[in-house]
Amino acid sequence: MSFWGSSFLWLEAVIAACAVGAACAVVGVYMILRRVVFLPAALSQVSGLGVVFAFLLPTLLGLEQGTPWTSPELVAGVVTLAASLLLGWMPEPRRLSRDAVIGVAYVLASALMLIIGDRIPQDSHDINDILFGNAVAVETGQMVVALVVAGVVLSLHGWLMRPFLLVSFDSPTAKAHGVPVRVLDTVLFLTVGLTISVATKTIGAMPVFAFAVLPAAAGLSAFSDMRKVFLFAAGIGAASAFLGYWISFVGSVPTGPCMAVVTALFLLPAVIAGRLWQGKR
Amino acid sequence: MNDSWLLKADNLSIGYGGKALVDRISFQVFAHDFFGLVGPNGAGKSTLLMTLLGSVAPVEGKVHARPSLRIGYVPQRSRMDPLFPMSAIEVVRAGAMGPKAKGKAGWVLSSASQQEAMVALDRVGMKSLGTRPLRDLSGGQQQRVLMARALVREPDLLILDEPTAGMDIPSEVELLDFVSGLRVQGTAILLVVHQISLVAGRANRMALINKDIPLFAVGEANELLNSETLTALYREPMQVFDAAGQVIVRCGCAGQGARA
Repeated sequence: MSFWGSSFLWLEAVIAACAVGAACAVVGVYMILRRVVFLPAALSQVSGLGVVFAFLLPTLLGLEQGTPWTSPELVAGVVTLAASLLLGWMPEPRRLSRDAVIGVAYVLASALMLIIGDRIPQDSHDINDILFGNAVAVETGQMVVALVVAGVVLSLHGWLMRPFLLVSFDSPTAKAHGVPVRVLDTVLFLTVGLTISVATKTIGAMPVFAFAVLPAAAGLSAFSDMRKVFLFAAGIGAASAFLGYWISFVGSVPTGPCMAVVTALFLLPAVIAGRLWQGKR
Repeated sequence: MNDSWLLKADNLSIGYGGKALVDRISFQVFAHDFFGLVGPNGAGKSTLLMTLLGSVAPVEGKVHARPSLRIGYVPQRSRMDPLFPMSAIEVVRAGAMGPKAKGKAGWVLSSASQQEAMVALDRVGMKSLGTRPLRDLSGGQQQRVLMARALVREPDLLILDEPTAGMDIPSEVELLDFVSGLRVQGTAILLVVHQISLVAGRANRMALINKDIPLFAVGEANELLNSETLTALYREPMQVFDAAGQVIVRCGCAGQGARA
């Protein structure tokens, strides 16, 4: 069966992947600029920890399995948003770099996820899909969630691009000028947490980290204009999701890693183009 | 001096983690002041400035700002991250963000227009370089862009943190002349520097600060610029001369004259 002839198999998965790919790329620009590049990776693990914790909650609270407010999506979302705010608001530690603290969060969340996951009476394949998504099979509901979240995140970032840039670039001046730095930081890191949580559930942790770092790195390497950086990164995120899926389908290779590798292929040309354009200025 | 203060430090202790670096200081910056905040390196100037601007909580005491005061802040350019690919005009446009006008709740999160930003860049002689990325500009040019960003919001009080750091002498003089001109046009100035010679002859009021000495002195500049006061502040022999109306401050220790 040809790729296009079997679109009924992949259309929802590809739409969802393209949407979260673009959203991850846009929030990823701030991750690089604010030098918290491992935050998306740590948040993916925290999201997974939230999922396994959700399976354990009914037992801990003496509730029946399937209670709506202990759903894995909800608990993972809340835990990821909370972690995103905590790690985002965290002042620069005096004796450690911020990335070191993010590394601690990554290791701790990964270890706890494995310890708690071992206690859950659920089929291991199911749990793996819930934890880290499955870019091949995305349900309609999940696609709608991915589209809505990506739409909200991209719209917010389009509307608040300059305020987000000001508080990221020069927070003391923003504060001195009376700009609501804490409010803007909160919104920014909530969009990061929301994007990473939904994207991890949709396509898995590895492509999410790739989409959050590589398109942003390509955009920042190629352009000296923030609007172009964001548009280029979002375009690479969405295009890599589609191309990765296509190569995975045609070559019968794993989808998530394929998306990550395709995203990386955009980086080198972007760096070269950036150097050439810089030379012409 | 009239009562039209813009910014007031009231019995303020500054520091980090509850530990005071400088204790119980009080001073006011009035409308039309050129106020010099001067002290040697490590004196606590930056901590005091961050406390005045609300980025660091006071250990004790309070900072009062006149209601609806518009502050324009020019930070040290060394704190600007070259990773950000923003053109000079984009940086300047962001200067317009802040609280809404007096009596209105909320914030203005929209930027200044291209034209307003260009006017501000023109005032600091940077109009022709407006489209260049900030990171591609020289240190002095970056400082002017940051100045334009503060000016685009038409501030009542312009606060500058070591604006001449790394500049050559002509650029330094040009910038300070420009700032003095702003004061004449009605903008109050709070200039933070470690070299007293930069404010001598320009500032009408000064605060001299050093760690472990409760605000050493605050008052009229001509009363504070004397050898005794400055020697105690810098803990080195200092000499002050009046050369045909121009104040010369000289450090006797190194045998090098500071400029005024």
